[in-house]
Amino acid sequence: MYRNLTKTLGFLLAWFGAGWLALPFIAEDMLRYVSEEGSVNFTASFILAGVSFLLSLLCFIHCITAKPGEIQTQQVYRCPRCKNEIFPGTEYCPYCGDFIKK
Amino acid sequence: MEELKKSHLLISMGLGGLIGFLCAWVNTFYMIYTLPLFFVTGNFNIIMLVTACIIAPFVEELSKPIGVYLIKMEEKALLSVKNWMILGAFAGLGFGLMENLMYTFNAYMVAGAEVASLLLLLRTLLCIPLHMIATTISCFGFGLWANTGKIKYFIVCILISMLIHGSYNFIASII
Repeated sequence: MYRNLTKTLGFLLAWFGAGWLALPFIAEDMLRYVSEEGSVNFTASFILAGVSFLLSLLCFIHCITAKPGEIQTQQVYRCPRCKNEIFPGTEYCPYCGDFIKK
Repeated sequence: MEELKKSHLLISMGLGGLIGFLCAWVNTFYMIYTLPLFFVTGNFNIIMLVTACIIAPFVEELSKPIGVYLIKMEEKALLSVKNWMILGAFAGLGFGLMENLMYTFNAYMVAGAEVASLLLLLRTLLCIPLHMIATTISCFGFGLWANTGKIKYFIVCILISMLIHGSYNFIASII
């Protein structure tokens, strides 16, 4: 059930990790153009990049190893005329008033 | 189950972008809700922190998938969980792109083209995947809710996405 989610998150977390990795270098460049005083925390950025890459790896591992699961989907009944969801066994649609054949 | 249409992707991304445009403008107004904290603590930084870490994630995570809600409520689409999740990723992408555009434009007006281009690069690497991750998770929950009828999935997933967004804003504030 979660395989599709972890696959997508794996890619996005890798992208996010690359962002944390690039942050101190880009921030350092930005500080050259701005008159304000500031400092760049390389250690924190690299730790966060590491955490993101690790989570990305875990997502990919889950995606590869997890067995495909089934979701118990709910049966949806719709009015043939207005297409709104109705309860099973309803004779008249509560939205459009149409008679529903069994 | 229905197939995902291009119009669905366009609606979710476009409305995500519209919300991104609005959020980029009204961020300052969120502070109104935290003003009482200023009167109690006398510390302005706490207002900034609460706004960035609690109020902004709450508002943005609920409003980002507006296109996804619309597709469910108006088009009555019957999509698989995977497809709802893809729509969520596109909503996050639209939101992130539009927010980037707004912030880059502001930076260009204030600090010039060099700073604006560096900010655009930084936000493309960090903020776009963050928004996509958060909205993908919340729409995964939405898809489970739409398919099983159990709202608890959506509530849990949206809370997780708010937590991720808030944590990111907190880290970005202190780093």
